[in-house]
Amino acid sequence: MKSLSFLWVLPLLMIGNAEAAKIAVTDLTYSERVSGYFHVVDYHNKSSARASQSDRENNYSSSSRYSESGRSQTDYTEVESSYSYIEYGELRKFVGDIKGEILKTSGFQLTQAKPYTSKGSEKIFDIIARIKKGYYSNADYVLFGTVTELEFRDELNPIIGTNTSSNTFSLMLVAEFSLINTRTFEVKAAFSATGEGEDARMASAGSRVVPSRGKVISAVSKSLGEDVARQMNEQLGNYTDSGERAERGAPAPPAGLPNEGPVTRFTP
Amino acid sequence: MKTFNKALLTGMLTSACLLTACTNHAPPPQPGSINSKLEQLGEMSYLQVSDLKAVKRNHLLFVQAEITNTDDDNQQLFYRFKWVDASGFALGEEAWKPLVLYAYQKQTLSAVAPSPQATDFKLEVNSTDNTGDRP
Repeated sequence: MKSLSFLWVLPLLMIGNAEAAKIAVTDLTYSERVSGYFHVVDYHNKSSARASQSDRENNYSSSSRYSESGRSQTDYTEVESSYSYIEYGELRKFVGDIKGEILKTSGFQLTQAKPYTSKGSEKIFDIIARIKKGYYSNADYVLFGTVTELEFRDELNPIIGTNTSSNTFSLMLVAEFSLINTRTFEVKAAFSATGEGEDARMASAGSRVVPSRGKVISAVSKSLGEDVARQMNEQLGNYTDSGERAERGAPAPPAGLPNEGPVTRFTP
Repeated sequence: MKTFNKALLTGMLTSACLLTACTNHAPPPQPGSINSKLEQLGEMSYLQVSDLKAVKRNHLLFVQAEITNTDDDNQQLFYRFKWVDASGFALGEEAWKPLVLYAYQKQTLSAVAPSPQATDFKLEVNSTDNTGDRP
């Protein structure tokens, strides 16, 4: 009987699951041109020398013989060239906070995305092929992100009037995201989001400061997560006019003319 | 007599301080005026915000400002918008944007709030040619 009473709860759980759309967040895909230069010098030198001497002497005569031979061989090869190729892959960082913010601020359920582990090629950007291959079989939507720009900066600026300077180590990450329906391939939201973090320290003359990379990476991840969740909620219409979050499923503003309020003009 | 002189001196100093304090603090700008939405880092010598209006479009605050250069020379302006939510909390921080205004030119700046939560704004301006005084 106890097990039967539990069966009552099951449909309720199923309803609860059916309401919230499931979303999978991919790792951030990147492509980067890698250029290099190589210069190889191969030098072999083999040399040998041989000398022999023989002396013979008896009561009547004496003879002496001396011979000498030498050989030297040198091989020299020099090759120089530059190469360039495009590297494709996925950054296994920065998506943790995106997932966290989506859980906190929107009504989605999260499912784990399967990472792309094949050898990197341009196919990595073919998200439709990945969806069809069943990478995100449990998800209704995939949030597909690609890295647009990743820039580290290390700046040292003197503080005027003092003998100290400010050392700022910062990282900025810009990524583009598309929220794709896994059945219809409809793009429900698309935006580019920014994550930035910095570690600023005062350095006096002669001192050496080491910036905390961990702190910077963590700040970038957090701010990227917040930006992604905010823009996704905006585009999915999860906000009301007063800026409060609306209930999921609230009617969207009528399409057509822009929803325009009265103009406020400020007097000089 | 000595005590009297000391008291007189103290009194004069106090009144002088009060007078300076009064002159340093301009009256607060009228609500609904351009100045109430403006934050100048030093009074601009030749640039004026001649018009400012705001409207809410698609849940987002849309602001347009007109800057006038009253000088016969080019002027450099740096500006940014500060967006504030209904509770008065700032929503992030924008980067400073440079703008060159040619002699006697009027330029229009437009900005859209980054989020529907932004209900108010401040326009922060800084001209390289300023009087150095408090606006």
